Amino acid sequence: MPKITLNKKDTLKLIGKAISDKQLSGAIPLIGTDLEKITKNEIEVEIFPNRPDMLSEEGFARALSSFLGIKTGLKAYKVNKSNYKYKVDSKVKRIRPYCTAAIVKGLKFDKVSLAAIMNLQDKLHTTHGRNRKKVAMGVHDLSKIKFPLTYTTKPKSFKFRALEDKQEKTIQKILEEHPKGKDYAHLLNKSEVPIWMDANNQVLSMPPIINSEETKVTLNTKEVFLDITGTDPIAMDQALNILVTALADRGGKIYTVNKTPNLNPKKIKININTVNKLLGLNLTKPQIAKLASKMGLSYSPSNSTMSYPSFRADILSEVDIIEDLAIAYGYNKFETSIPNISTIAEENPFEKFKNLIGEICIGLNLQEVSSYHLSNNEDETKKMNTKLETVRVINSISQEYNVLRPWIIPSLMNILKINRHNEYPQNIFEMGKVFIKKGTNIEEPTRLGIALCNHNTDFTESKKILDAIFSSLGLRPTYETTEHGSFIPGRVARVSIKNKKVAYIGELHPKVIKNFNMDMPISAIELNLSEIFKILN
Amino acid sequence: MKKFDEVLESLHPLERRVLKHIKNNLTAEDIAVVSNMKEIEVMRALQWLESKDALELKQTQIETIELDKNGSIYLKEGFPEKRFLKALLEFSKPITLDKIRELAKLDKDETSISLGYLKRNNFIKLGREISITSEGEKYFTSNNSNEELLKDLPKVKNEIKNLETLNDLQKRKEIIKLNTKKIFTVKLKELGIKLSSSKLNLDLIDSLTPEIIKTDSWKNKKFRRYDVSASTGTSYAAKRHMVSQATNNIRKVWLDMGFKEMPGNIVESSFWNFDALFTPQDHPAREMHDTFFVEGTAKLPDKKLVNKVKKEHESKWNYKWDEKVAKEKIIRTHTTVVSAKTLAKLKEADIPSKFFSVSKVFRNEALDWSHLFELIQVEGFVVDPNATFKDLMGYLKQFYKKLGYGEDQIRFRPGYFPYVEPGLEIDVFHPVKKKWVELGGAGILRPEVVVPLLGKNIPVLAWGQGLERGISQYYNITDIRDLYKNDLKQLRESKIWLN
Repeated sequence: MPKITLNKKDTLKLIGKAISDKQLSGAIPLIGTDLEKITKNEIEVEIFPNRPDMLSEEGFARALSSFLGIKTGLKAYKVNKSNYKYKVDSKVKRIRPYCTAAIVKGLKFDKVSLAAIMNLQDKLHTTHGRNRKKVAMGVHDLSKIKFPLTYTTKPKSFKFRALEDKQEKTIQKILEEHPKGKDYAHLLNKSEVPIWMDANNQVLSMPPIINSEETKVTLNTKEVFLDITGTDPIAMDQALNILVTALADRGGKIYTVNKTPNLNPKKIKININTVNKLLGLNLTKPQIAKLASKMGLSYSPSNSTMSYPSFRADILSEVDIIEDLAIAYGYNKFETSIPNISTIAEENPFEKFKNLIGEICIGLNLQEVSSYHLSNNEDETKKMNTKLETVRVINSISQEYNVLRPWIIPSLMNILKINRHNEYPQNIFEMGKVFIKKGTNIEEPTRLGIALCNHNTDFTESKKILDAIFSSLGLRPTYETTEHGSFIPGRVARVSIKNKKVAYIGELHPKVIKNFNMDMPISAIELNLSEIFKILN
Repeated sequence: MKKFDEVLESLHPLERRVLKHIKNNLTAEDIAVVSNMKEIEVMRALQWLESKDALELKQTQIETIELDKNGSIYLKEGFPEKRFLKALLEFSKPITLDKIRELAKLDKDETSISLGYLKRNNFIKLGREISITSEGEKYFTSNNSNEELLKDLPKVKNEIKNLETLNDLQKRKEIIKLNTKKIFTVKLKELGIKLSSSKLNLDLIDSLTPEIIKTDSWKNKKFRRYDVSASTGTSYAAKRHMVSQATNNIRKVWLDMGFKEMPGNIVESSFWNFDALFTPQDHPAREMHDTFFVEGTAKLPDKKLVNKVKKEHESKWNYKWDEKVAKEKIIRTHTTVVSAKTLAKLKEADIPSKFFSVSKVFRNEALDWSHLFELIQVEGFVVDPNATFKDLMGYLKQFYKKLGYGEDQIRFRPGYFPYVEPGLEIDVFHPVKKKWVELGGAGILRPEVVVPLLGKNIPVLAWGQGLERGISQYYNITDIRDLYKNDLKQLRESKIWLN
C-alpha cells in the first residue's frame, strides 16, 4: 500500500478548519486510511490502493473535511469550454494508443503546493498507473506551449532536451543515460517512441518517460497543460480528473482540451433494502442521504440513485457505495451480533489423524519440531547423497529457499545441526507436507519424519519406535532390505503395509552426517502419513 | 532447625567419608589425598555439607606458572638465541645467516626471534656475515637464568624469585603460561565439628532394592534420609512444537463455534489464488516480488467457471483477461484460495455453512526479524443468505473473546482487499505494550467473486488473520524467526499453551 507524507499545515488549510492532533488521529483510521504517525509538521498515512484520489494533500483533505462535516456533499467542479485542440497521429496506435488532456488556469504556486502536485503525480504513476505502464502523466507550463498540439511518434534518432538535461540529446541517449530513461526504457520497446509536440515543433514530453525541459512548470507558472497517455482510457480519465480537481481545490479554473475533462458526477442505482440487509441496519432514505453527503456523495431518494465524483476509481458495484455508507455510519458504532443458525462443527479427519500421530510420538518422548517447506537442492539431495527430484521455485529472492522440499529428513538434519551445542539425546519428529512431481501435477502428501540422534542410536532403536507407532494403529509392517544413498548399506529398510510402500528407515551414513557438520550417530524414519490414512480408511 | 540425628541419618556416603578426615583449614585437595577420594567427589560432599550449614568453604586463588608449548621445546633443545650463538662459537669465524640457520637448526620464526633478541642486547654484529661480540660470548657461557627458571616449573608464581627473567619470558611467545587455580579451604562450624566427631559408620539403607523388599531386611534398619529440597537436575517433557500447540488451540476455538475445517493445497494456480478472487492480472500483488512462482503450468477448472470469472474481470476492470496468466503455478499467498475452492464446491443444501482453516501461506520476502516467508493464516468464512456486516463483526469479536481479549480490547476499522466490500481490519489492544495491534482483515466477499463461484449472490463473510504475532507475544519472542529456529533447549524449556 502506498505510504504518503502530508504537509500538516497545508492539509489543515485545505480542510478549512483547525483540528487538533487528537481529533485527527481519531478520525483518520475511521475513513479507511492507516495512520502511521502525526508529527509537528507532517501527517504520515498509508492510503488503500482503491483510493488514488486521496494520494495528495488536496484529495485527502477533501475526504476528511467531508467526513468531519466541514464541507460535505458532492463537490461540483466547473469545466470551461475552450478552443485548445490536439491531433492524434494514427502511428501511436501500436505504441501507446490512448491520450487525454486538460488545462487549469489561475494558479498561484508556492513551494508547498508545487511539491504537492509533483508528489501526487509520482504516487499516481507507481500505483494507479502501474509504474507508468497503464497511465502516465505530465504537467507543463501553458505559456511555453503553442497550440494546436500533436500526439505522435518519433524515431530514436530524434533530439530534444529532457527535463534537467543541459542540452538536446537523441532519444536513444536519453533512454540510456537519463535516470528516468534508465528506469522506464523497458516500456518503450518499439523503434519509434510517443511524443507530444506543439505547433512550433517544440517537444512537450516523451511519455511515459520524461517531459521536456522547455515546458517545465516553475513557481512562476500560472496556467498548466496536463497530458495523460496510456493503455486504459478509464484509468486515464480517472487520473486526469484526480489531477485537475486537486488543482481546482487550490483555486484553479478548469478548461477543456478537445472535449476533456469530463467531471460530470457518475451515477449508480442503490437499493435501500440491499443496503440495510447487507449492513444489518434499518436506515431510512433521509439517513442514507445524510451518510452519503458525509462521504462526498449525493443520494437522490426519488430515483434511488447515488451520484459520485468522477475521480473515484473504486466504485464498481453497489457494494462499493454500501461500504462508503458503512464508513460514514462509523465502524465503531455497529452493534455486533451472532446469527442464530445451526451448523455442525467438523474437524478435518486428516488433521485429527495427524494430531493422534503427534500424541503417539510425544508418548515415545520425541520432541516435535517445525521447519519451512522451502529449502534448497544442496540440503535436500546433495548433502543427503541422493537423487530426488525437487519442485523448483522460479523467482525466489533467496538461494537458500528455492525448491519445495521432497522429503522431511533433511529438515530434521538441519535442526540437529544447529543444536550441536545442546544436550543429547536429541530425538525429534516433524509432520508436514512434501512436494512430489507426478507428470505435470505436484502431489503434496504429508509425511512423518523422525530422527534419533544420540551416542547409542542404531537401526534397532528406530525400528522399535516405528513398530510402536504401527502397533498403536493396529497395523503390521513388513521390512525389506533396500538401497538408499543416505543410509548405511545393509542398515536401511523399505517398510510396507499390505504391499503398499509407506516408509524408509535406517541408520544415516557417516558421510551424510559429516555433510551436515555433525559427528553424532543418527537413525531416521520417513513415513507417508497420507498413505497410512488411506489404508486405515 | 532439624534434629541432629536426622542430619546424621541424611548424610550421603560421600559426606560420611569426607567427615572422617575433615579438619579445619584443610583444602579439598588435601582431603582428597588423605581420604583417597576423587577431588570432584570431595567437592560435592563439601558443598552438601555447606548447604547443611556444617561448614563454610573459603575460596582463594592461587597462581602457578607452567611450561607452555615453546617452553617445553626450548627446555629440551635449548633457546633459539643460545643455539644461534652456539653455532657462531663453534664455527669460530663470521658466517652467513643461512649457514647459522642450518647449523643451529632454526626455523623461520626462531631465526627472527633470535636475531631480534641478540641484536637488541648487542650480542652479535650484523653485516654480510654475522659475528659474535664479547658480550655475546659472556652471555652464552655464564647466563643460564632462562633455563633455570624453566627447569623449576610448574611453580607458584609468588615463589619465583627471578622476576626479571619471569617478565622477560612472559613477554615472549608461548614459553610459559599463568594458570589460576581455585582453592577451597574448610572452616568447620559447630554442626560440622559435632558431625565429624560422631559415629559415622551407621548401617543405613541407601537404595531400596527388590532384595530388601523380598527379605524384609529393612525391618531392623533405617533408611538414609534425603534432602528433599536438594536440586536434582532436570528432565524435559517432549512436547508439540509451539506453533502446533497454538494452531490446535485456534482450531479448537473455531470448532467450538460450529465451523467445519477445510483442507487445501499449497501449490495452486494463479486462477484460484487471484483471478477467482477478483484480483486483476496487473495487480501489484501478482508481481514477482510478492509471490513465489513454481515451474510448470496449472490446469484450469471447467470452462463455464473460467468464462464467468473472465467476464467479471473484463467488464469491471476493463482489460483483456489472459488465460495464460491464470495458468501460472504459484505457492498460495493466502488461504482465501482454500475458501474460494470450498465455495465453488458447495451445493444448495450446504447453505448456510461455516468453514475455517489454520495453515501456511507464502510470501516472496527476505527473512528478517519481523518478516517470515512462510506464515500461518487463520482463515474462515460464513455463507448465509441472511448474514450481515454486523454478524461479521460478531463472529470475529466472539473469536477474539475466546482467545482472551475483552470486549473493549477489540476494534474494527475500514480496510481494503480486492475481493471484499465492505472490508475491515481488526485491531486488538496489546495489554503489555499498551497499544492497538493490527491482526488481520475481513469483509463480505464481492458479488464479482461470489456469483461465478456459487451461481448467485449470497452474502459470504470472510476473514484471514496472521497467527505468528500472537504466538510471539505469548512466548515473548521478539525475533519472529525464532519461532522456526527449533532450538531444542528453548523448546524443551518452553511452557505449554495454557490459554
